[in-house]
Amino acid sequence: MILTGPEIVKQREAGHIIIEPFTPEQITPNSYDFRLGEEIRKYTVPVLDPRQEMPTEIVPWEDNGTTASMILHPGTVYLAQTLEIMGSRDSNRFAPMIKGKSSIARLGLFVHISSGLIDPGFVGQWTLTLHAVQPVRVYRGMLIGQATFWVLDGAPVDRPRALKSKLEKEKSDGYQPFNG
Amino acid sequence: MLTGEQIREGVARQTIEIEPFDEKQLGPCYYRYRLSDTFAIVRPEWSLSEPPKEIAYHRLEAQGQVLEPGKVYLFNTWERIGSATYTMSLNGLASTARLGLFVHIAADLGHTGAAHKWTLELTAVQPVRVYPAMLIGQVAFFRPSGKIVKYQGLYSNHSKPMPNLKNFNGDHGR
Repeated sequence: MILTGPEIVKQREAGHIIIEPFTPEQITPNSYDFRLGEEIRKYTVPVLDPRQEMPTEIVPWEDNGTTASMILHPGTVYLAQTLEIMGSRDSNRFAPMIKGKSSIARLGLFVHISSGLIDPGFVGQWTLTLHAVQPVRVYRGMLIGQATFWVLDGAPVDRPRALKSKLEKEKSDGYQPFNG
Repeated sequence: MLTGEQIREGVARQTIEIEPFDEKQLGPCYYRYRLSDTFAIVRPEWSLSEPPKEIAYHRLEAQGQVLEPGKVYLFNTWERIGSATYTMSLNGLASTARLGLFVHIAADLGHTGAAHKWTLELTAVQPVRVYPAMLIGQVAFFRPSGKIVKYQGLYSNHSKPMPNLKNFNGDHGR
């Protein structure tokens, strides 16, 4: 089952869901609209190789004093993060899933690349993988995607240690590119 | 997630709207929807900060149309689909995926309370021809948990493929 907007509010008030900062206006019928965070990175190597180090660099914002924005180009995977810290510490209660916002989709901007599921129990800024089908300008702090919460059934499986430490690292560093 | 049989019952009880409805399009846990015969091509000058000033709609003729990689084509579902009881998810068919064709751009969620011909964002990995009314995707229905608030957003009740209508550098951005 997917939580309705009012149920997300209720579960947050009960402490079972974390969304910080929280703005009631960002609640929708079935989700919470989240914002684009401060840092956007891209890989600096021409070929991505998951068995090699894959260094990244920060892509700078164009800041005109009132708005910070940048153009995302096709052919590049951008690693971004949500402005909000989100999740549920009770790993047996909810599985969060990232969903795109249809307005963003209508301009050809992917906010995840066929992997919308967030591990139950993870609380932090969610990594977004932005991919533009054609060039598109994004704005710092804009609404970029939606968080949905799905009710889990049954007892949780204890997460493998490697994943736990990855998640703890992610909690402190904000996001991690894949390294396997 | 509802089974195909529950979707059929939902249509009969009017908790689900699918119009036109054809039982042959029911799957084990979804309904297969068709592609519209109207589309628009996303223009390079369109942005996230204002709705486009004008939209050119094209007709998808019976001989079909080749979609080119690197472009986004706004189509919609042939059927009017919706529910004030369930939440929906619209995805591609496995056969569509095998052609390297996306039918949405990470935005599969259909909010409870919305009922319309859903806009699809088609984008192709390699050139691929599409035809009007071809089976293109599947819609699944989920029972939501909690008090239902019906969707009353900007994209309600459209019968044509719709571009972005929001300003993410203004009201909808900050």
